[in-house]
Amino acid sequence: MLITRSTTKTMANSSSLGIQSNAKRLSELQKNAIDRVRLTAPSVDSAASLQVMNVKADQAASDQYARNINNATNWLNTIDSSLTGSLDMMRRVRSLVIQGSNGSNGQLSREAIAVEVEGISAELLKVANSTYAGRSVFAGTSSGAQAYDPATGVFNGNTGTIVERRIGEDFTLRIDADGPATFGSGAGSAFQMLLDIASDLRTGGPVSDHIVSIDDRMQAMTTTLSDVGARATTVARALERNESRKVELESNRSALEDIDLAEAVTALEFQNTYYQAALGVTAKVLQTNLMDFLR
Amino acid sequence: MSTLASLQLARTGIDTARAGLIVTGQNITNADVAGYTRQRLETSSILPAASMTAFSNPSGIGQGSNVSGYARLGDDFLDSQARKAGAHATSTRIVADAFSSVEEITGEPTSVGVSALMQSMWAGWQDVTNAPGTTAPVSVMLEKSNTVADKLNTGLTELETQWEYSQAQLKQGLEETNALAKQLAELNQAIRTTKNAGGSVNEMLDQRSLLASAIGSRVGGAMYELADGTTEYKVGGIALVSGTSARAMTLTGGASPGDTPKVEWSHHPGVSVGTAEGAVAGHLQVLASSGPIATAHAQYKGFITELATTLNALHNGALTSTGAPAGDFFQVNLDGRLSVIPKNVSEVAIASPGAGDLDTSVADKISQLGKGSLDGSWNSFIGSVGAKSKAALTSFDLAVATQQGAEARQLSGASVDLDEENINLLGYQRSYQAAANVFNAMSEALELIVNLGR
Repeated sequence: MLITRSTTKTMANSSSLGIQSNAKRLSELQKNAIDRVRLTAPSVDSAASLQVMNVKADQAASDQYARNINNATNWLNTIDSSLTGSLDMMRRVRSLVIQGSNGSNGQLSREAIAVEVEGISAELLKVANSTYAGRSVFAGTSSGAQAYDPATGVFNGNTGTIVERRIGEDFTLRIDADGPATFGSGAGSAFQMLLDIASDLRTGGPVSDHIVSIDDRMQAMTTTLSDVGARATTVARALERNESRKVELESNRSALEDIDLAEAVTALEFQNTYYQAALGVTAKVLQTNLMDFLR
Repeated sequence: MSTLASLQLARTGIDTARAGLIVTGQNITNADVAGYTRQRLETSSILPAASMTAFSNPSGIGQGSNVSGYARLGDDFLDSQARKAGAHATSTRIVADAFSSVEEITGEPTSVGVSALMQSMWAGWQDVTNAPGTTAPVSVMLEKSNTVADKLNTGLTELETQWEYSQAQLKQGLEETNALAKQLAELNQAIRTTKNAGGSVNEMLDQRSLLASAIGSRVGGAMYELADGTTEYKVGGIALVSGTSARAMTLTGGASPGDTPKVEWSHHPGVSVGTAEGAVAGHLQVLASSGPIATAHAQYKGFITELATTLNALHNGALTSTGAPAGDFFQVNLDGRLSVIPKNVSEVAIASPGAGDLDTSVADKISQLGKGSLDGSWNSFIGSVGAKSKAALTSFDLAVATQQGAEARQLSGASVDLDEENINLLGYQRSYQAAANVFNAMSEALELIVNLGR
């Protein structure tokens, strides 16, 4: 139905509605520019809201993986340096054994070698009790203060257990090393073997028989070391992947959620102009009245 | 025509002009009154005197003007259109508001939404796996769990408050409708009486229109004219007001979320009122079992139960830091609220039995719960709320646009234009002057005649 009659009231109404809708739009744009977030409620864009929620969940997970990777790296580094040190010590013992098995050594020189070997045994035990952040790295899931009893060289930790870290989606990695597999335990342990070597040196027993055992023990340590090395490489790759994933996720989130500031400010400027125009026109139109012209 | 009759003729002119001034004055002073419909003077000429006797000499000319009535320039059709559009805008606004509130309660997708707090809690469990045997990460995780429980519980409470508010509004709307219906019936009575007595009912008709708008904005429906000048107001096909008698509506149910309220006719118990527009209809939609509050409430409750059940299944039987087996982690109270059972770090289970005292496999499994159906069911709930809320907002915007158009059309016909009234005022002033002039002329002529014999 056509509107054929325009009255003071209809003009006042339509001016008021026009100003009101402009003001509403202006306040919306202001809020957007100040908060810089487009998705103030799911109804603004429900598909984007869902995506944003998923992206933020992934971001939280990535941050967590970064922390776990850091922790894993430190564990593996601790084990790596312990094993490298242990291998150095075993090489030294090997050369000492070769030296000591030479029949030309006198009692005194054999005594000196025995003392050094005993010293290395004690040092090796300390290395086997290496810790990171208060936990023995060779003790599995044990909470005991030391993986190996200093007096007896017996393994105190939990056998058959592993310590893991979650370094990626559905990806957990073992970060500890098996103490008994590397150092043995009790009577068959590396420390006991070194003490036996020392006593053989003193008593004049068959020292060179121990070389095979030393080699076996070194082989065990090398196996563990290369295993740890491989895992460290995996962790390093996981770190790289995680970092690039974080960047990707952040740019996803920003694209979905954030407002381009330049765009927001420009829109605000325009809307301000429209609002002022509406106000100006209303002022001009509503003031004119027949009564101004009578007499 | 006799001489005195000619004075009478002039007098009718003055009376008519004065009536015109009064009507114009009435229009101008009521220009801003809500619901006022402009009025216009209806005049007609008085017919020449009929021939009385064989000796009377009719002049053959009319005897002046008289006021035959005051016309009300309203249009019932436009009025009812505006009422209907207003009622629709009200009901869509109420529904859109309710959805908006539910969105605010969930707080998604901001950083204080349920989803973000849940992610933080799962991260807390992961931090526990990195440092078993230490108390700090466990404390932090307990804090985060309490935060999640608080957020969910607050959500339930706020939803229940929202329900109660809507219910109270519904009740009030119905009480007001019943009162307005009585007023409408009484007004109908007054209109009929006055009309039969021959008086002008224009102002009462305006009032009746306003009452109909008030009722319409609450329960929708439409008003129909009856033959005797009264009206019938029908809601959903049943008459709320019929001439001079009014009926009432009653409210049953709706005490808490899940208990759907029903609005029924008092005189037909069991028959629900077919209201589709207006505030009452809006609140009924909000409080329906498929409405925003009931579905959100059920979702929250279901989510809380699922969270507690899945986490407890892993926590139960696992070992705490003291080596003792643990019980449940979460407890769902009778009112549906969630609470965290462990109060200090030694009550939290982390290790799997038999895997060593610093094992963290249970904590790790718990931390992965978020990736399963829990997050999935919450996300799809939010998606659905977002989509429905958007639809409700769009409905509201369209309804408002329709309402503005309908009101503009109604006002265009019925409202007072001050310029027009000022012109009319000038016109009637001139008529009054002219009629007074005629009176003067007739009176002078009479004086001459009277002085003729002197």
